[in-house]
Amino acid sequence: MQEMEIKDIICEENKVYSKPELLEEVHMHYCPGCSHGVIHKLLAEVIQEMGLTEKTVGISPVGCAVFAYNYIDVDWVEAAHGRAPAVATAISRLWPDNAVFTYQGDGDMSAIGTAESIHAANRGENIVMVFVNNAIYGMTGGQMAPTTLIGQKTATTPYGRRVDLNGHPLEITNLMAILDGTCYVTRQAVHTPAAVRKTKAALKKAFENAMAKKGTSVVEVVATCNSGWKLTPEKANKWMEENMFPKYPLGDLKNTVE
Amino acid sequence: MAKIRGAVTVNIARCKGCNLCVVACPTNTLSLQPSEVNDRGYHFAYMVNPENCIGCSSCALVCPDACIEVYRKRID
Amino acid sequence: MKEEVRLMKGNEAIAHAAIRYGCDGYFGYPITPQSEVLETLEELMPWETTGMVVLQAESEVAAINMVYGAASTGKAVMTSSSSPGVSLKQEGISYMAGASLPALVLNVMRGGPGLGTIQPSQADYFQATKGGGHGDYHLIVLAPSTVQEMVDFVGLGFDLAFKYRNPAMILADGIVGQMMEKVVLPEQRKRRTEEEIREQCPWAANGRVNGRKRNVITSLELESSKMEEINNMLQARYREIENNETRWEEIDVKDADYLMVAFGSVARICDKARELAAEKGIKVGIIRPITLWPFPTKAIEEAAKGKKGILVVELNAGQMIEDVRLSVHDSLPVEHFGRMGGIIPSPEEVVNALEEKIINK
Repeated sequence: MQEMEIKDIICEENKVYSKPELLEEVHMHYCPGCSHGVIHKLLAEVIQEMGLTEKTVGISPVGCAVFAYNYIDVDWVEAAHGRAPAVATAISRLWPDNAVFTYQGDGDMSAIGTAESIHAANRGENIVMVFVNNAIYGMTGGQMAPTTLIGQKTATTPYGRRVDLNGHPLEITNLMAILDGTCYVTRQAVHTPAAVRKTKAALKKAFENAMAKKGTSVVEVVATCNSGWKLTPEKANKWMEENMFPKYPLGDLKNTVE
Repeated sequence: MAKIRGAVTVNIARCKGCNLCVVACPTNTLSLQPSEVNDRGYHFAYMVNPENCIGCSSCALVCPDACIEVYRKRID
Repeated sequence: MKEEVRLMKGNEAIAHAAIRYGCDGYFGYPITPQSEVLETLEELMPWETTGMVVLQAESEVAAINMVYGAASTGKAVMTSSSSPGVSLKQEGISYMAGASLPALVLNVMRGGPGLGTIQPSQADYFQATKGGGHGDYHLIVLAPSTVQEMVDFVGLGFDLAFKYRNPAMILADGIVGQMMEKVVLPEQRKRRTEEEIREQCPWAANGRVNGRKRNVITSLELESSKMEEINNMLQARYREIENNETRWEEIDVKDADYLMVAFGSVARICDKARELAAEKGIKVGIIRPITLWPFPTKAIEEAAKGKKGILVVELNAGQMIEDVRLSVHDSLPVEHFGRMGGIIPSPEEVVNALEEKIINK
């Protein structure tokens, strides 16, 4: 009886959620529970739903998301470490009808690429900058990022980050918000269903701004790196709520469009 | 009274057994396979209590590997 | 715009040439002695006429990566800088070579190392011709000796870059950049439309229209066998460029007893030295490599047959001389004469060097 019922439910007309077509069928290289997968999925959904598949050029970073081009079925340019905003600037200027977005980690956005990020935003390039902040360098094996919290243990801060040795965690998104070139700066997360819905809405708004030439939109996603943090995905989410959110509180930092 | 029934399918090959869907599910529908694994050795998610599912999509929303499809039906 | 004869600096001529050859974008950062390129472009406002984009970047690093981005979409774009700035650009240049992207980079060389001097130099020969950045790659390197060649090589540079999907470099010295000469500016070449770019560059990442497969521009490949394949493909391309595109100029080589090899503005000093030597009864021929890579190895080997010696004259401590020596396999004496620090040798000095280092040795 119960088996019959499930079969009855699982049919095309009752489908309410599935993988966006734009997200490739291939297995993603990310660790189990990695936030990148959710963010990729949301980008694929937003690009697809906004009808921007033919107009989108993504700029992938150096970092764990370097292979983003294998997963979202749009044109991609893989940039040198930190240079994605410069690459995006030129593409957006030369193909003004296109939707151009960068996908950058904390190293890319706030260490090696600080100059490119700040200046692209300050020029008000009509691009979307997606900033995945998990306070650690995942791809190279869990070293300190500019956004690493005080006391947080990483491969290069094995006894915890110290202000006297390593300086303070860099709130680059707050810096972006004070620049006249940005129109929308927000900080989101993808750890709960509600947070995922909000991040999707934020990404959609950012792409709308880019297409309407309102200036630069920055969507920071406070994310987990459970491998780097050496926690299970579930515990990593809890750690993020307890430790990351006080330093990087969620919500809009700037919205001049509405 | 109308009742909402839901169900999910899991793309077993894509699933990495991260357990985030299990945590996100408000009705204890999902669990990881206790012994069975997929080709990559992951204990994949499945409906351990299928009758609980309300088709809310919470599991699918947080799934990093987009391996969950959600179905919902109104039963009058 | 019709063809036009004008008097202008080499750097200004580059700006005019970029517009007239239908360049889509220029991204630069000021540095002496080439800032007039960006200044002239900003003054000419080509975005109002041809639609060319001009942007002053926040750094040389950003500028080259803007070039990388625009080139990834099939657009014809360029940047310019001088030695310290070109060092900063090496990362982006290596990425462009690795991703098979056509683009044009101008280096108006100044003396180094380090911050060095703003005076002319040819000390970046090694950097330009032997790689510069990391990995096995070559740029197509053009060395102008006149303001006219500054103009012509913008067109040639873009043509070669797109023909071979490889970055090209104009390696000029500060003399050619700063001096004024009569120059014929070419008739305006139309910029390609987006449709033409999509047709000519089916590899470009500019939006996967009409449901085509996605294009990915990257220099990354973690699988060793595939990475070796990419390297082999690049090497095959370099052999093809060597076979097809080696360019040089010869003056009085046939009847000469001695040869001088020089590039850029120094070749013009050598030409005057050749005249002075002739007055003394010394018969000198000149070979001026126009492409520094590919290097005219065979031409020099051929020209050296039966000669008594070669003087290589450069504004550096001896860089191109290594390629000249490799070309002639120790079959005759090859010596170097160079000045550094921004000092330009007189023709008399060159003749003296020929006598001291070759003839009377």
